[in-house]
Amino acid sequence: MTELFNFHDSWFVVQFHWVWMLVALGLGIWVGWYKAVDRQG
Amino acid sequence: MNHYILELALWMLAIFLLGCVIGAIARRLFGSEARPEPVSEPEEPPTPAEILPVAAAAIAAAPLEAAVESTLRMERPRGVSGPRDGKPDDLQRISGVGPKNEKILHTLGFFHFEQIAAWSGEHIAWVDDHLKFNGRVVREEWVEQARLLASGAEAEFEERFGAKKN
Repeated sequence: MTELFNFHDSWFVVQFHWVWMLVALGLGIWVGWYKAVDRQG
Repeated sequence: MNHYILELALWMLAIFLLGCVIGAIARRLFGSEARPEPVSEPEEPPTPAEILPVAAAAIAAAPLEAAVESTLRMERPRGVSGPRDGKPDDLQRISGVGPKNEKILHTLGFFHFEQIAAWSGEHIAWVDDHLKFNGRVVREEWVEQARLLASGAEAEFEERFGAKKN
């Protein structure tokens, strides 16, 4: 269990898979933009 | 390997959520100017399910042919750039108009009761569709309320729509 939640050197994952991180960020921005609809009341 | 995939998934999730926050903030900051643009020309025509509630309410309030004709066509009512003498009417006196709707009406260029009183069926359909009100403008008789308020018929207004809001 301790091994499973050991995230030492996890930054390496981000550096290696930076393209996917960019995709996730772009998708997140897109979703955030379209979900942030101001409701009237 | 599983641990590696878990790390990757967690990073992507975290960055996705960060993106959501950034996107929402960006819309708050820059979205208001961009908003009226797509609204003036709806991207896709409204579906019958969207039109029906508006049509049903309009039919109850107006002659059949005129109502059907007007609700099938929508037209953005023409607003003005600012209130006369810098003093807008208190649009919140219209039952159904709260602070947020008043702000939206101001954004659309409506500051006075007589402007709302002059809305045609096409205008009502457009505003109702724009505000996603499903017929509220007609049901709550905004135009009739505005007409009474514009003409100064306070007694009739209070009798039909309740006492003056403070």
